[in-house]
Amino acid sequence: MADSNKRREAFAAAFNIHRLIRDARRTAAADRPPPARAWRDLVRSRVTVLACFLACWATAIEARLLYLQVLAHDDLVTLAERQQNQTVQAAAKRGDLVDRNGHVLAYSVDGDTIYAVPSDIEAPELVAARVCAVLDDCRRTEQAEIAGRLARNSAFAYVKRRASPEEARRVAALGIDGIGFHKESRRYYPNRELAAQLIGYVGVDNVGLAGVEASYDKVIRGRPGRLIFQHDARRRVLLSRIEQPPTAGATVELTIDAHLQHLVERELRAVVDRHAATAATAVIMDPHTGEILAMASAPTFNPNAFRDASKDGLRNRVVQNIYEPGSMFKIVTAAAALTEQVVSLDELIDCGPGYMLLGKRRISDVHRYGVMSFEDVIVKSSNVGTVKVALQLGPETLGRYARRFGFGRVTSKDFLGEEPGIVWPPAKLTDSGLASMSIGYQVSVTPLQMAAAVSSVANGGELLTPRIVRAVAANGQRRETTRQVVRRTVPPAVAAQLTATMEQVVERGTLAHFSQIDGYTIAGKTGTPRRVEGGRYAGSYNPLVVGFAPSRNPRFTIVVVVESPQKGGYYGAPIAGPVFKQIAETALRANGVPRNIDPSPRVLVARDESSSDTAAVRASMTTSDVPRIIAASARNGVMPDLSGMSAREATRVLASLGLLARLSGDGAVLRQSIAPGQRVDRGEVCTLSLGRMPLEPEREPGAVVAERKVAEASGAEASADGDDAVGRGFSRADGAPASNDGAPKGAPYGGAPYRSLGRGGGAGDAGRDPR
Amino acid sequence: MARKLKADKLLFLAVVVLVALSAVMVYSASTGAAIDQTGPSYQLMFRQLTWGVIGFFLLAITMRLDYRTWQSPAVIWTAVLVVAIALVAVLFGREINGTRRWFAVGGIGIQPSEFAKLAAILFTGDLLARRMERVNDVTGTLLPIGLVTGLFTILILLEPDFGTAITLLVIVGMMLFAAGLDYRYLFGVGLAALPALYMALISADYRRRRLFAFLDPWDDPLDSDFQLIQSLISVGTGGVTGRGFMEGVQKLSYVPFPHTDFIYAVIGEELGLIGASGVLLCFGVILWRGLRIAMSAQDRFGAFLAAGLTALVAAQAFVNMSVVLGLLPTKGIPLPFVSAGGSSLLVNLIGMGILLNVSQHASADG
Repeated sequence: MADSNKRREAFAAAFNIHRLIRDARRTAAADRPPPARAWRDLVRSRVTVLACFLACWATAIEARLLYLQVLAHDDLVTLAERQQNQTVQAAAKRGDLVDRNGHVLAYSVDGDTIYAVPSDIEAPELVAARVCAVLDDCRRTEQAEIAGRLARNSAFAYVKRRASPEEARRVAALGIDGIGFHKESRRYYPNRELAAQLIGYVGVDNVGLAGVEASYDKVIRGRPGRLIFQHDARRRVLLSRIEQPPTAGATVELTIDAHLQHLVERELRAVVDRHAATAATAVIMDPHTGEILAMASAPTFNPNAFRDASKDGLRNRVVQNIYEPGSMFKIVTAAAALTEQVVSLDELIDCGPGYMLLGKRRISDVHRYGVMSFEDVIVKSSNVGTVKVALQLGPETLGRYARRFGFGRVTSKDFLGEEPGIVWPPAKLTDSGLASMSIGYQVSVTPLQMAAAVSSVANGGELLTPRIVRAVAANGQRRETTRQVVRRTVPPAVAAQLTATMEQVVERGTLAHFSQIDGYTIAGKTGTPRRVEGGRYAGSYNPLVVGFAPSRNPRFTIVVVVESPQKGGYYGAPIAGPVFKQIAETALRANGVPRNIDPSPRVLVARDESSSDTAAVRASMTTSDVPRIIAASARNGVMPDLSGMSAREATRVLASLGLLARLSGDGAVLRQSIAPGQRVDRGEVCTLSLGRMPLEPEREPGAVVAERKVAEASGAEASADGDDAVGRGFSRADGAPASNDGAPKGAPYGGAPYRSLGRGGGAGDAGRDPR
Repeated sequence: MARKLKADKLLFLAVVVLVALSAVMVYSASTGAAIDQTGPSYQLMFRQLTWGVIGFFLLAITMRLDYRTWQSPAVIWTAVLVVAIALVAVLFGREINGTRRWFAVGGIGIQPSEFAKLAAILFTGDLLARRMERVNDVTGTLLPIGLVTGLFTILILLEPDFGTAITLLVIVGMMLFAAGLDYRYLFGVGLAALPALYMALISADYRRRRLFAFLDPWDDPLDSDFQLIQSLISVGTGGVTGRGFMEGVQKLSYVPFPHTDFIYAVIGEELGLIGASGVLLCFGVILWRGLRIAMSAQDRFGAFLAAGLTALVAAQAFVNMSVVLGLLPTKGIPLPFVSAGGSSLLVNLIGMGILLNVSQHASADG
């Protein structure tokens, strides 16, 4: 029993434990449905956790708002504008281009540009057809293009740019929704070809594409305005506004004189025709300021229709072409020689038998000159003499002077695509190369560089930056450009010597009779370089003349280059010389430049011999005036007898008849191409052959061969008197009595310290004949 | 307990402010939609106001109705059944924008999924009140709640309406948490959610790169990234003070659903940081007052009801804002009280009525 009791007790104990556990569990379970305080505490703690979590979340949201709306605000605004706004540039009106006297060379006219808001247009095809019907020149293809643009999904499309006011009015009258107008300017060149390559032209979007239009584009263009269209995501325009009105461009005042420019272009055209040349170019520069007064090239183009222009016509040869300068470059060689005192003008140089040998190379002159002064070497343009001097100079010095005169480097920022030219580095120059360079070969220069270099001789030795813009006027302010000295090329004394030498070139040298002008002394130099075509010397030449007028206190530096004349000779003087003369003479007269040597006597023209006025005039004259009164008896259409008249008188008579005079030789009229009494029409050309009376042919053995050849080649015009004209050397085309030539007048030369004065242009030199 | 029944005035004020703002902003935001549908732009505002009036009428009723009335099984099971049937029925309705969410009752669209949230809150609140001590008991508590909530969720997902489904889960989850759900469950859910979180982060990075890459509005405008980018631009352009009322541009076909799911973006653009923060503040007030009511509720049903109803509004608002601001992946759910939409407004106002009623019965130590 004890066992069973024990067992029972143990069982009971175990059972009790079990029960105790169960009771404990029950108690716990009974406790868990907690009293109010217990469940509330749990909920409170849990809700607090929840609240904390949600508060964090709210903080995150607020932080995100701060980031987006404050920190990233600007970036997001940029993004928004990029997708919401469409900006259309409204081009500003381009500034005018005017010449130095205010003549308008280029101007802009407002045109009406018709545009559309495509999303507002429901039937593009229909609208295009309606619009097209009232537009000028709107054919099938144009209509299809317009329809295509209108159908595009965009807030802006052009219908027609720069329509005429009439067209705009007619389109507006259609009253189509979604069609708008705004002003856009169109460029006009009222003078068409005048200075075309210089001025350049403007593309559709009002951007200058060439010439001054391009190089001064920033100034001329002005500031474009901005139209902003705000649209929704489906590209429907919500509003449009002018963000910035366009500001008109500045007026650019060029240094060009439209008058001179016109003259130069006319002469270039003439010379191209006369000599069947491929092209011609010329530039006039003011040697004291560097201002370009004219700059022209033939062939040319019409900038109003620049798309039709030939590539050749677009070329501004003055800055974009390089030429070997030929004998013209002897000025540089002489400048170097005189400045370095290698030689003086008086020094005699043996030019030998008309050629010299340099190694295997033969350098020849057009004539056998023998011994002559260095001055004559330049005046007669002796290659042999020049090369001899150059060999003394050496490549280093000559190269330095070439650069000092501005060759081998771009002259100005005013021109787009200006050629720097080619000047070989001295180290690369052999003796042969040096010889070539001294006479203007193996060196390539632009006409503008020639003009700048010659101007530096003309103004006493200062190389100036050529300028094409005189002033820029914007917002009522006019800002002038200023004269810019690049450097001194030669001392004033050397410049004076060179000037005197170049005067001699015109007086009695290669240019004699081609470029002399009544009443003015002229300085010049010719060049007849062979053309380089594709890296080889071609069979044709580029005759050229450089010079300035008047030679004392010069006003105009002129460079004329004719390319590859096929007819009437090829030498610089006869081809380019007359062009030079014509340009210089007109420029001098038109600008009222006072004569600097004794003028020939005045000529009065009376319309009617019998009128009392004429008698009165005659009566008032003193005999010392020795006026000749011409009876302009010739009424319309009858050629008078001009024989014996001076060139001036004859020209006057012909002018009064409306005839054009073409003169050859100098002195009084010997022959006239239209016989007296013959009927003439205005505009006809009458060629007058002039000569000294009595005609005494002085055919001297040493006449410049070159010039004679040319004279023969250039035909009747020059041949009649060419030889003796060359031979005499000092008479002038004005036909003044010989006695007038005899004594140099002091006044025009007064005070000028030129060494060559005593010889310059006086008849006294006749005794000292160059040969 | 003979104290005067006093409703929470601050809570009520926040709700009134939001509903008033809703009318105004729906008007502004719908100008873009109105252009598209060529209807008068005040039409949506008028409808919203009508719903607001009806909603406040219901709020006034529920506020005066003792919340314990809802605890009866008859009410709860009826609500659950009706909602379940409606949710099934709506699947056979007309398809709008690729989804079947609305019932057309007399020309008025009714969205049963909104009412599902209310039914779920009542059901869960009642169950938890009765079985709070067994909250971690799978068969007794979690299974019935899971069954009802799961059924609703699946039906809503079938519409499909992913945003509302998630919101429903979040609300029920918060109620369970308030009832003392073991942290282990939360940890498990969190582990399960990790891959999703990772995906979200990846896509967030991708989105950021895309935002600052070149923006072409015509590059897939239906893409959710596009929607989000437009939303961010909209909020960002508002700056501190906003572009001004009616001055927003992004609502014009750039931001998707500007008067409903993305109305917060329009608020951000037009009213700026000040307006957007103000809206956040209102929801903060609702959250604060709602949770305070939950803590001080007279009984457990009141506490869970208050927690659920607060979650209904606040959690949904935070999710919506987070989506608009790019903190959460883009899912369409409306901003309570503010987004245009009758069902949502009605349900939320009814919910607030109940919550206000709970607040009147706060315990002495609350």
